[in-house]
Amino acid sequence: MNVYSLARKEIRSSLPSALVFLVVIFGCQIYVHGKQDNWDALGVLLPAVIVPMLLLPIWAMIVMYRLFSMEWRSNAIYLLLPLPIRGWQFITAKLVGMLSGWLLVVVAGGISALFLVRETIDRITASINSLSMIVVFSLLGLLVLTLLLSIIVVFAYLSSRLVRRFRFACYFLLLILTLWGLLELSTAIASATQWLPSLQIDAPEAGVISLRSSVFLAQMFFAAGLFYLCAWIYDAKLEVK
Amino acid sequence: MYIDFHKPQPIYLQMIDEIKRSLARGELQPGEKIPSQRERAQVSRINPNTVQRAYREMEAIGLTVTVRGQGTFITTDMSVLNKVRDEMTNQAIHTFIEEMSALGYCSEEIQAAVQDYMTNVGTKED
Amino acid sequence: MRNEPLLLELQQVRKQYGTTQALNGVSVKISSGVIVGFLGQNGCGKTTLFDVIAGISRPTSGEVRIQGRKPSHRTKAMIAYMADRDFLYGWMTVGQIVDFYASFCSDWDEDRADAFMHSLALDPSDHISSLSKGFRARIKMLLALSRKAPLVLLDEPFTGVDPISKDLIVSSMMHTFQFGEQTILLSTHGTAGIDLLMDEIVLMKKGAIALHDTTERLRTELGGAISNIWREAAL
Repeated sequence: MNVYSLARKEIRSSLPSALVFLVVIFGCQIYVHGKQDNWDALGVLLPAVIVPMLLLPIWAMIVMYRLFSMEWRSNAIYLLLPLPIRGWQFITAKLVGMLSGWLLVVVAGGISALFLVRETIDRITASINSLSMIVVFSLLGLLVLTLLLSIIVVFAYLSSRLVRRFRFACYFLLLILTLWGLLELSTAIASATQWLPSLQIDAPEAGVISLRSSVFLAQMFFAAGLFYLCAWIYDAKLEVK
Repeated sequence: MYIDFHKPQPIYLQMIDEIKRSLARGELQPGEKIPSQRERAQVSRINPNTVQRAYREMEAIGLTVTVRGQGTFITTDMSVLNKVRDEMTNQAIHTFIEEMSALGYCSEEIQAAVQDYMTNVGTKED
Repeated sequence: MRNEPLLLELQQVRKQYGTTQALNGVSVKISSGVIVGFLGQNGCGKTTLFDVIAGISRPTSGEVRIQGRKPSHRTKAMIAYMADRDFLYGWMTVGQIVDFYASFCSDWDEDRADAFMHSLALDPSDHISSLSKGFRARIKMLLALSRKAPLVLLDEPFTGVDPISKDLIVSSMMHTFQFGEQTILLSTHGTAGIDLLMDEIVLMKKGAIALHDTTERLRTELGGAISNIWREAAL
């Protein structure tokens, strides 16, 4: 009940920025559509599909920051914090709000991209055999990356609320540090999995995929740990001032 | 009903006095229904606990009777009402005499002053 | 103070913000079923004290107990706190904010909320952003009093509120107050009419409690004029 009611509010708050992002994507696609004749397959895909989708995690970080900072800036935290809302409910609702915007961008942007590349699609599929598999895994990777970066923003923001001065500097520093920590961790896990030779040598195509999903899994653990930490900060440490 | 609560007396006693005075003046009749505690608290904006205390006190001295599900009524027991009236009269006279004594009047002088006042001013008021 | 069960107990509560001491060793006991007025000038620590009781500010040291429990989401469920900040979402309508708030409260009384909507002359379709301060204060009162919360905290409910709204707010507070079950703590920096409202008065000065007594006793001591309490406190 708590999460549902909160999430509905967050969806409403994150939708406008999702729509703005969609408009930008449509703009890119219309631009590409006008110049299409001069470009090859990658030239179409890069500005129309790949770059906007890669910008999506950045968009998510900005949205998450806004969803949180707005509660403090509008004093709404004085309404929410005294209510019996648990940290995990508060954060989950914000993630749901952001993800609904994310989904809207992916679905609407994806459909229009499909429409745009319908002519060039034959040329692309000729060079790559399992296109749908790549799309599914890219989206999955994008989702994991979005969630991970979002929760890092939440962690940095909530932690920065615990100090009384230089909050933005503190937020920024924590954001950089956590990102750096994540990169370190990812490379550590990647090299750890590389060190296991049997997994890479013996398995054909499926083995490569399972190796990558282990990195995803590690990232999800990292995100879950941060999520737990954030919920604890909300429950036990957070103050209004 | 507005009461001027500037006396140092406890508010619940002042509330009871106000009811007694209304009775003496005839604004309240024996057997008449008085507002419920909740209504009284809301209309006069008095703390409900204070109102409750006043009502409990009035009940205890037999000034009011509460009928379950119907409300609180002024008693129809004339002996209680007469007692209240006497009490109010005594109180008023007591205050008056005290003030006059403070002004240096002796008992005969006070009587004379009252008689004087009644013939000159008091009768005009009727 | 009374024989009623103890609802709230604070022991040597201190709160420090940087170098400023907002609360300087506050110890107070409040029993169930009373209306308590917290008086004091701006910056005397009333708001910080309420924040600490509501569990949205953590004391630097000292103990807070609400029905024997430390502040947590469990105690939050039994406290209706209306901060003095303007915290209502401007983009919501009156009806939306009421539904939103109600969805978090298991002690919400729908009938009472409807009655308040009518008696406080609120229109559910009005946008919050278009309402005056008096009407926003009325919404806060509706939110706080439509709950059957054992503890209601109202921080400066009358500040900057027009006289009509104030009268309506006080009337509705008196009307819904649940004998023996509800405790209302309200802070104010004025004294007009407070002696009729409060069972007890707590006077705060510089983050500490200067005086805590029943209103009746203070009235007898001060000769009826409770507004003299300021002078008394200054001594």
